[in-house]
Amino acid sequence: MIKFYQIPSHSLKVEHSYTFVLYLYDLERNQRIVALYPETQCTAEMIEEWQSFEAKGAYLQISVDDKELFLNEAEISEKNLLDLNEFYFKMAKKQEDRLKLYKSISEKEFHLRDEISKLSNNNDYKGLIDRVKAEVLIWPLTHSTQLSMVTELVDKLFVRDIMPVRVATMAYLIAKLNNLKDQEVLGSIIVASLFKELGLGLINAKDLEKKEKWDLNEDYEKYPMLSLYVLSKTTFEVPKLVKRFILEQHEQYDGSGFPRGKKDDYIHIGSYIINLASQIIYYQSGRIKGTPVPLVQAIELFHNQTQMEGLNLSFPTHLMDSLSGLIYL
Amino acid sequence: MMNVVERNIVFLYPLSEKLKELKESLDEDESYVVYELDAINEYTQLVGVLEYSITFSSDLKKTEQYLETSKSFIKNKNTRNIILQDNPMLPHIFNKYQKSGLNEQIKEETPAKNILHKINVFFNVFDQQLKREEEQKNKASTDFSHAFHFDNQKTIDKKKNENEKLHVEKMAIIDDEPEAPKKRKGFDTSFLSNNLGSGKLGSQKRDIGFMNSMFDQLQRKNVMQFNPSTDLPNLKKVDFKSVDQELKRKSYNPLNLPDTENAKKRKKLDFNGANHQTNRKKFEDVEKDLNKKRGKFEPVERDLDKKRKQFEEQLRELDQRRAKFDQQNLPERKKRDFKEIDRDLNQRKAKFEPIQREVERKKLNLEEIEREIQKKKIDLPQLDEDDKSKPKWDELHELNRKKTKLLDELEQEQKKAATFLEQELEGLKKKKLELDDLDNEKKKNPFEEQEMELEKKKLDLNELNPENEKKKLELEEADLEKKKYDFNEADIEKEKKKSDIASEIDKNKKSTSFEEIAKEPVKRDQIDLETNKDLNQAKNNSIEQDKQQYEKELDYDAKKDLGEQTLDYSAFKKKKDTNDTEGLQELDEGQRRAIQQNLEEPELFFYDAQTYGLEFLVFFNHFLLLSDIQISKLFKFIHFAFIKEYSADISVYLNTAGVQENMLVSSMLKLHEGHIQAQTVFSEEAYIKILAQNETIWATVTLPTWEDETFELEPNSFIYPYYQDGTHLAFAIVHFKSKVKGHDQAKEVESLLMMLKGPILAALKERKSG
Repeated sequence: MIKFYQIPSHSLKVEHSYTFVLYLYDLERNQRIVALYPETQCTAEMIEEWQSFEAKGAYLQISVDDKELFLNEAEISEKNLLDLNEFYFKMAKKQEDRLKLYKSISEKEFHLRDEISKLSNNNDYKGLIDRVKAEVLIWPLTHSTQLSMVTELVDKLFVRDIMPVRVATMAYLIAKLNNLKDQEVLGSIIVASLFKELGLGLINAKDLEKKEKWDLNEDYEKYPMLSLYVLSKTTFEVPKLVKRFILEQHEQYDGSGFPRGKKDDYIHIGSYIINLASQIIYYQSGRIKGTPVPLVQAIELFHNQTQMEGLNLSFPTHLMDSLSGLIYL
Repeated sequence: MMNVVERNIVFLYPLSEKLKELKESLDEDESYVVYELDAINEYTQLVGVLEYSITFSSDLKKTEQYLETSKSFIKNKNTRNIILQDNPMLPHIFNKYQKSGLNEQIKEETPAKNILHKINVFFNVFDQQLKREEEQKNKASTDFSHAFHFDNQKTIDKKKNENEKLHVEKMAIIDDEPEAPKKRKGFDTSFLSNNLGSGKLGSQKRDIGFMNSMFDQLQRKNVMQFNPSTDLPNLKKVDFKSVDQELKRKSYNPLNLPDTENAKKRKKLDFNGANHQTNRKKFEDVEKDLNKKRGKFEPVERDLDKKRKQFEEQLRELDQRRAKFDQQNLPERKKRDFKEIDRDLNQRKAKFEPIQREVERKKLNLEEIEREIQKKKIDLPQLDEDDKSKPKWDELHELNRKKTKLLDELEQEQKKAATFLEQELEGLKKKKLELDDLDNEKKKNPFEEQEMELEKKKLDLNELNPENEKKKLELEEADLEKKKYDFNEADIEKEKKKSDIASEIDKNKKSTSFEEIAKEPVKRDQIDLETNKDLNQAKNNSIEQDKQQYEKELDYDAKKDLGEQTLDYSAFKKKKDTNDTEGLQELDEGQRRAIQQNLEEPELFFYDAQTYGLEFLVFFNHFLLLSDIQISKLFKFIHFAFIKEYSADISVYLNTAGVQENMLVSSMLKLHEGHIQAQTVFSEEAYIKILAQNETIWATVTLPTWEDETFELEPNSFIYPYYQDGTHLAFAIVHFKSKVKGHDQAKEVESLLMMLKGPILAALKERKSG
């Protein structure tokens, strides 16, 4: 994966010829040129010029193959070379390690229905969580800040079978069943599923224990916005799509949801998915009904659109139909 | 006998072969009235008076002109406009002309028979229409009462009146001074000058049977009673005379005159005469007009003079260049080119001369006429117009008219000359550019130029050539030779180096380098000794100049500081790509391929995978989603997060009194005493001591506050108060064992503490409820 080492211009000697090729990479224009050919004398003017480029964000590089030659000929220790490329190596290593660990898992045959059936018996989400984790952790770290952040969150959180992780896992699987393949959207669904209820931390915690109490708390319907408020206090720049998913997590297809009473296509499919996934998970865990039920049963209930107290079944039909991909009917 | 409409066919010059053929065939047929016209305004006049007509044209430009000028007359059902073309015009062009009144385009190859058929079809419709009208009229006259007849007559009168009005309107648009028709077979245009033509004159075949019919009587009455419309804006008021009167006054000329007589007739067409019989202008008006024209003419003349001067200047310059050229030793091809240009120029000059002569001649004429006018004016002193003797005034008018005409002609000539000069100037400019090219080419070889210059100087010297001058020159030459030798020996290496650099700087300057001069000893030897001095001087000058230039460039390279430009990465890349190829050439194929591969290798740019401490919030969130929420667990979890992430202890104190002023920590309820439980930062005693010291401060802090905002202090502390509806609920105190890494971490700390509000609210509620 690593093809080049970044090297500092001051490590090169004036009036000296090297046996390796020196490259200059411009980050702004994503261009690489040959700065110095082998056996060409390096002049003070050249170094001065390179330094000026370095000040503008460009940097000198050598090929990984020339590492030994460089260490022998230039005035730099291996440690210094590695220190200089610390972030590069760290990230490249992380990507490499993840690929090594999870690529095979993610490519392994996975029978979702069977896994959910199994889960229903032992209430162990590990199989599902691990699968999602494996699929997410092979996402490239070179794509965007958000994608890198999602992988890191998954790496840190998907080691525990906790409620937000369950919701995020279920949301991811339903999204994939609905042919959502874009990693940015899938990533947003995961992030929103994990953070959507942070606002609950600002509400009287005791009012959250029982479903009946939620409606009594005057702040409850504000919590999607409180979640965004909490996120705004962090250094994380919340992507627009994530914001939308969090705000629309309780909106309903018929317009009876909160906080804005949006309906139909005005609600993003991702928001519907997060809403549906949370309800399935909360219903299964007993958070809504009070007593836990097997996951298959919970999914079936939603798929059949069985009216139950405390449940919102107002979703686009195709979304409800897609649940058939999770269970054997 | 049944009446038929007049079949007017107008041919607009220039005519194509097919049209000529068609015209000839129509000429032979008595049933058609053929008009041949060239001038557009004439056409406008004619078509205005023709009731039904077909116009044929073949020239696209002319067609466009006549359509545009006469579209108000020709865009109706009674007129048909046909163009004959070799190739059919593009649909969008045809549409454009169609809007102006063009009806049809016929291919040139279409047989005349087909065209003739089209003509007949067109006119037959009107014949039928006329026939129907006549039948109706006859029926009406026999079947209905006199009263009704009278009413009907009034309707006809009204209709006719409108027709006449229309004619007058049309005629009003016609120019005052139309050009004489080029050829108009059997058509007397004299009636046009009176602006009163009914449009029924000038036919080859003229049926006057209608003169005695009832319709004719009605029409005649209508015409006799006709008053010209005066209320229409811009309508020229004219004395309308009936067709009948006009016919009586001026008998109709036979149409079968031979062509030669037609030509004579054209000469007789004097529109101006008719004009000033009816609408004679005062002399002063004429004078004013003339002055106006003069005024208009003067700037043209000035402009012309200016252009003439410019032209002459250009010619002079060309002559000078030619003279110079003759002395130069240019290649034969270039000389030939130049001679060709020169020949062309002479031809153009020859063309211009008659125009110029014509202008001069007309100017003289004008002056003569002006003199005559002045003379006549003197002969007719201070007389009122009425008293003036008519013949003399007429003469004067005639002279004025001539003068106007001459001025017009002169203006035309001047314009022609101006156009010619403009064209010539353009040509001259081109030639100048060509000559410049020749010059440039010549300059590329300074040696040759110097040689030529020296040749010239040599000639000059030979002309003067005193003996002492020669001796002096010989001495100087010897000196120069010596210097030159020294220069060549001493500087040869330096110059070589410099020339290399110079060639890199500007490859185009290779031909001007002093090296090349030095490389041509044969040529140099061929030059006479007498001129050697000049040659060497020139060479040395050139060398000096080059040396200075290179030195300047070298200095520039060494000293240049272009500020921001120095950082121009693209320039650097370009430089590297273009010039630094030596290194690449020295590499073997494998190395070159490897380099190329590396250059194309995409750079892996990683985005930092951060969670911003949010994973703790998610875990905390999990506890809130459990069906049995334990408040103490929530505090413990946040404490755990602080210990794990920042090696910090947290204690939370609840304000049960709800008052913050003079509040003491000791009086507050301890929700979570993490400092004492974990003792990560301080020992229990130490913390108790600190608490005692800060008791009054911590409880009264109203805003989240860092002990050290610079995050340098170790251990640093952070106080976070909680409020609900403006009431102070509690505060959390955090002590950090190690440094907080900047504001980003401070934010994470704050967001973690924020999450404790829910548990605090729950604890407070629990406390209140007992």
